Amino acid sequence: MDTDNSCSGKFRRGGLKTKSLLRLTGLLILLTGAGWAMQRLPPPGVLDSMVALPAGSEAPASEFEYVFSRLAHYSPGFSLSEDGQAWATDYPKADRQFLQGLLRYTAIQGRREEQVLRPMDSELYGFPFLYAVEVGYMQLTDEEATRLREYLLRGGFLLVDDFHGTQEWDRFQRQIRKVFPDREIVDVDASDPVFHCFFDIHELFQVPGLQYLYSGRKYEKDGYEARYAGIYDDNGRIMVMINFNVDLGDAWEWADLPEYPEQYTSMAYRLGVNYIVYAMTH
Amino acid sequence: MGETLFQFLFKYPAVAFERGRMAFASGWPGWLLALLIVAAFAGIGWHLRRSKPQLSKAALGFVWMAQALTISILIVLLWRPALILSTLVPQRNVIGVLVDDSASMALPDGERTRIERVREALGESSPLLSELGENFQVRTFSFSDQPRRLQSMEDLTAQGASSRLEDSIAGVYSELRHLPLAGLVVVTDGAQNIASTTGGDMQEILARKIPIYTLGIGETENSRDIQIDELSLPRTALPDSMISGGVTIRQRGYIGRKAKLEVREGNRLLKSQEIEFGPAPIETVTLNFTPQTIGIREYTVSIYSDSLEEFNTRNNFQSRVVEVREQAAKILYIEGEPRWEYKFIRRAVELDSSLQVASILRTSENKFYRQGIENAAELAEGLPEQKELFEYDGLIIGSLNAAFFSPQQQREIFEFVSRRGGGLLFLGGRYALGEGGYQTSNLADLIPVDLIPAHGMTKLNRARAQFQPTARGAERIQLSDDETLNRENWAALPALGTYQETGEPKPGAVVLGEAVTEQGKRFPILIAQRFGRGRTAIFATDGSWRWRMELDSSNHSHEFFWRQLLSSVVEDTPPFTSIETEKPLYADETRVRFHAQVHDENFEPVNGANAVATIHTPDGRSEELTLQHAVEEDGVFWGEWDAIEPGVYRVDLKATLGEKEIGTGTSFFQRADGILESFSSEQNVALLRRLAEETGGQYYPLEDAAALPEHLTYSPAGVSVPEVRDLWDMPIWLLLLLGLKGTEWTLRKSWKTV
Repeated sequence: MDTDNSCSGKFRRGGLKTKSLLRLTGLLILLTGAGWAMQRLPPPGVLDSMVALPAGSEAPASEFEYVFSRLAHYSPGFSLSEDGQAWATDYPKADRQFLQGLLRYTAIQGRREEQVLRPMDSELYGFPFLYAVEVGYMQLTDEEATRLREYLLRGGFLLVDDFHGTQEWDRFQRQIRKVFPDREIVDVDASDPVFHCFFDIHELFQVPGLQYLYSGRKYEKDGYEARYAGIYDDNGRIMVMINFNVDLGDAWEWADLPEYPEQYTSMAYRLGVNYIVYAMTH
Repeated sequence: MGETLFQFLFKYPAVAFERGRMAFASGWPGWLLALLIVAAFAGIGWHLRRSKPQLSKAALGFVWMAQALTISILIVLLWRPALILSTLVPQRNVIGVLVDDSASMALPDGERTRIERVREALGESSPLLSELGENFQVRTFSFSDQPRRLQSMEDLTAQGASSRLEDSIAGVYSELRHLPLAGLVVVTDGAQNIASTTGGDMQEILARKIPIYTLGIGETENSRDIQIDELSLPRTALPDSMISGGVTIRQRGYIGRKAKLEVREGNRLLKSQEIEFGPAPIETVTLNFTPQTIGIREYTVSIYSDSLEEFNTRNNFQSRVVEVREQAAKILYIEGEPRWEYKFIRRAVELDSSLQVASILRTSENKFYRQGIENAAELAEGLPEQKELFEYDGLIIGSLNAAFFSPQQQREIFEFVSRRGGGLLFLGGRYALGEGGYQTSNLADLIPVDLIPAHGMTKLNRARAQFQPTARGAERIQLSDDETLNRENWAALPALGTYQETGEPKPGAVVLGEAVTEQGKRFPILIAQRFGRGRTAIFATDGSWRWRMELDSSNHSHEFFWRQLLSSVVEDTPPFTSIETEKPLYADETRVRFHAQVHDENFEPVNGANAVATIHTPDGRSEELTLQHAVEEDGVFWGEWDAIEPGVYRVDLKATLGEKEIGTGTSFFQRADGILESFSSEQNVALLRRLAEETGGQYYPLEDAAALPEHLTYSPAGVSVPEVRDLWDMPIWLLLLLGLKGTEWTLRKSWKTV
């Protein structure tokens, strides 16, 4: 099935230079507001009004086959928020907006609301898919790393996203080595089933974050090239899917923003759906 | 003792009364006898009434009866009672004496061997044979696999490799049938180990009323013995895949004691486990082990106990040959929605080379994702048509409405099970089973349980429920090769994540596992049944993946469970063309019967096929055998062949129709000598009694054989003359008269009337 997620906004990428100053000013105000909002991350339970679900409208997680689970990791060096909660970046709007697409595209019986899990939560093993962002700031204790390794070896799947540049890569690599000291991170080829289990994705490219709209750069820091990498298990199945220099979370979160280019939104949804279908089939 | 007492009281043995008929030899009319007896009762009664003795009514009645009976007996004796029977004419009749010369006769019986006791009882210096010789012409034979003339008891060797008791009797009868045969005497331990194949001759023996007298030898129960009665292993297995077999152990004198059960592949020890004997004399132990190498392998199961010295240790082991070969059962898994159960079932069997699961998953309304396929064309059109469907050995239907399948597809799935003999497993799910409308579909009969529970709710419950295997389930599904670990793994199994309530199992269905909800409610969740040529099962949950995620990664209970469940679903699916022998091991017998089945690609039998078996002998020769069509069964061919030399034989079948090859099959069997006589060597009294009683003969322990010559003289067979034997002088009459008069006198003395 092909996506029908076409862009309906008035702006197109590359068209900003020709637009009026007024519109640019308006956009800057909007982006400033978004940045402010991101710095003041809502605590769990406070929802973005755009995707807020009426209280109690969604059944408990136990009633669903699939629940989008966001990994709440400790990230002491993360400066964007006051309390250093990097895990909550784009939360919860990105999750919910993505879930709308996932449930529309697929036959998965999924919950429209995400949930947050910490590495040491007793319920961790009941949710074999985890999404983690800003993992360049993630810091795992030895106990957490051991738990995460066990989770993955049992059949869990970890998708990491939204970390950029050499420094964040190095920090992430140090942390993931605590989980798998002896497993290499390898590039995932475009022919891998993960890119074909639902949508056929033949070409992989960088999906930028919202900053692309005001900076005009697809990359952040020195993360010029997107890297789709993974850690495989002994049987050739991906356990950890790594989106480096890619920001699927922003692409989901701002999918309803007309200025955000459709091709990135579409790619982000396609990748996200494929990752989840892959996690539920491999 | 009873027989001797009977003969003392009645003058003749009981058999004489059984064979003869009673009569009065005086020739006087019977009505007169009856009249006199009545008159005696009446006269004595009248006399007693008239004399009015001072006695109570009971005492008077006793005196009346005693005196009347005494007079009556005397009157009866005047009529001269006699026994009219047919007795054999001396030296005009023949008897055949068969002596067991099989290896089991070399076993000890007391301080001597069985064969030594036979030589002593029937040797030239023994009274038994000379007494028989006085009245009969005696023909002696030895037997094991077949009868042979025996000149002297000293020629017995006790080395025969098998005991064909009934066939040997038939063989002797066949040789003596034209002579005036008065009976057959069989001296044996009765340890027959090859069943009779000559029913016709035995029927003739019965029809001619030729009695068989059996003289049993040997202990009826070995005092201390452990025996492997039966070893059941599959004929083929896959490398690194667990073999599940059964070993039946018989013990006597070992209750409460322990023994070590060992499995060896060749000389290499594969498994050792300790068992403790319960009170049951026979118990079956499930045996699970994993083959280590590929090829035709001999597996030996042995059992030993150090606690007591055994009567016979040659029956403590048995071997079977198993072909370990790379061959995977193909399973088609159709799933209606992405779900964790699908993923974890696939992962569980992914590394099992014996199971090849091709799956087709509906990821969205009209989008399907295929996994485990061999080529791009496989399952490209969704659920395959019959011909392609029949190539699979098993089918799994996941969370899919019954309406997903067209009526034609439903019919083909039904045929897949009932006619092709495939295995079908239904899984639970929000669109499955009752919620999927299967109870009103063409597939309803395939479901081994009533899908509507008592309260009418069939919903998939997303709540935890503990899976508890039934005894049958625990037998069929093991969570580890090791018995202790198996028990621990069952106990440690986390609860299922979901369950679907079911109703009552259908007749013939077997409940392998139950779900126990948090409220303590219990109902069947894993149920299996045979259906037509195939099998069906349901596992009414989609939450077993919790076992994988909630158990340590080193615990493989989930994988063990699914591999065995799927194996049990497909293991009996027949190939299109196959050949098999009746049994894997021909111990001490050479006649091998082949049985082949030939079907075309739609699994329709091909009666017109030319089925040729090529038999490869252990010494490298090959022989071809054209099999015959068994007219009573479509697509079935058979043939017989003698495998003389011991060893492993391979059989290749090639079936053709004209120039077209329909299919091939391969099988093998093993021939071995010197095995049977070591097993079940105790005296089989039941068999010996049955043989004797069916033919009108009698069973005796060898030590009581002295009564045999006289009993034989009353044989209903042979040349005989009628004979009248007086019964008036039987001691029992005198004792009765003395008893009656003595009792009367004693009582009357006590009553002071004499």
